[in-house]
Amino acid sequence: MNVLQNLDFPKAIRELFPKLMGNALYIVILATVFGFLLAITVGFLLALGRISKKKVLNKLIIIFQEIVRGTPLLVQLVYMYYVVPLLITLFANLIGFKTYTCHMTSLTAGILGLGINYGTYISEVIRASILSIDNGQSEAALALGLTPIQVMLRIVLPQAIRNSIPVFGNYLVMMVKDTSLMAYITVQEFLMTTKAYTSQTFLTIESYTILAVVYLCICIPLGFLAKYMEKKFNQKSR
Amino acid sequence: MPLMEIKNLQKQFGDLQVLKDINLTISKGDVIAIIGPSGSGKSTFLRCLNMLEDPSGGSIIFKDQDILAPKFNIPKYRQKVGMCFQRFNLFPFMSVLENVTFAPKLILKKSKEEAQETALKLLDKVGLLSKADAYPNMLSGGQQQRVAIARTLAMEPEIILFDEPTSALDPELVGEVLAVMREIAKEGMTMVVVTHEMGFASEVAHRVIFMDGGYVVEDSAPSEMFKNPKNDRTKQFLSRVLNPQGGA
Repeated sequence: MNVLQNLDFPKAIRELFPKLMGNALYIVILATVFGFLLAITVGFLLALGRISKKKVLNKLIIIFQEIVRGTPLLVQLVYMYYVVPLLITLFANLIGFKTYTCHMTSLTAGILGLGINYGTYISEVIRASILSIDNGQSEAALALGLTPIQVMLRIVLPQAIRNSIPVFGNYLVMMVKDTSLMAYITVQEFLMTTKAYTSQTFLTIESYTILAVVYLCICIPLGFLAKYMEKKFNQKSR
Repeated sequence: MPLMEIKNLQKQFGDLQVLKDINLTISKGDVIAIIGPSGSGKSTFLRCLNMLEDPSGGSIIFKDQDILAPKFNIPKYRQKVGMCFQRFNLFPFMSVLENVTFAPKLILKKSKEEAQETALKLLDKVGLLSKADAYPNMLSGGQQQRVAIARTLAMEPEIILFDEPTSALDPELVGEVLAVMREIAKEGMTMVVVTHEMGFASEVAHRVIFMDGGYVVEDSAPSEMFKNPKNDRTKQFLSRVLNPQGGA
């Protein structure tokens, strides 16, 4: 019963909680916001590339998607942090920039890794919703004199985005949770901060319980928000 | 000078040749009804006229311009050639008013006020002024088609193509759409209408074209076409359509 007697939640809350709510929260928000913006951008580019009629581009994107979907996110983060800078340096040296060395902070690598991984999954959502827009919409817009690009930007994408926003919400919640993987590449987010605190104080049970509760407090409301938006948008579209 | 001159028009889908050899001259102010059995290529022909389908051969001359020329500006051409669809194809995320003002603002660079003024006049003309702020899914099929007509008119086209505009409507809603079309025809708009409404064809059209098997089989005034068809296939088709109960 020694362990129970030694439990010191007040201390852990007093010391760890401010750390989590300070710098760690800032980093999680930063990673999620920029990671998600990158994911949506990547998602749109990949989706449009796959819809385009250029065969070579289609094939390249399919190969890229298979690579991303066939490897774990954690491995991708490690690769992005440790290997990609080396490859970039090597490539730069090869094409003549002899003194260049690529530096990437762990947070940058984390954001890139998360953004590209999620972008790949989101691209399929976007592609499906673009393809689900009735062809008559494009034809009506073309018949009014819009160019194909205007048709895509003004008629098809606005409807496709409306249809995919509910799914985006779910991906956002997942991404918040997956920022914890960045601890493995030394990003000072929630998990890494907690781990450091634990190794100083040995308040293992307290620290990790607090960590779990913090994730719950962020993700459950976000999840409800996503559900609410899903309902809202489903009502609107019919 | 004819508004549009179609010569030897052909369209092939894979092995299937839908349009074999279409020749037609459309003059300004013509109201042309295209009739014929399903699969005869009526809709394909109409869609070739504004390049929603790419013709496989022949030529379409619009006001002395060859629209099939490689560098021809098709979007610009489509501004002058309006089209109404069987399934209306209104933009569901825009209000009725926005549906009508959208293209004039974007393409004709009209100011918001100017576009709205025109749109409200057109909505009044099709009898839907009160629905300006409604969304398409709140309207009946007949109302949607009338909005679609207003949307097309807002681009001030020189010719309007109608692709079976009443085929997707409940029978009691057909009349209101035909009434609007009759009104537009009276005002001198050039119209090409693919239709199954023989009443409309005989009453409003100046010319009726009977298509079958990828050819224009007969092209004559409605009185001639309906009372005294020359071609056997025309006779057969008309007797079936005009006396659906069987008869002879």
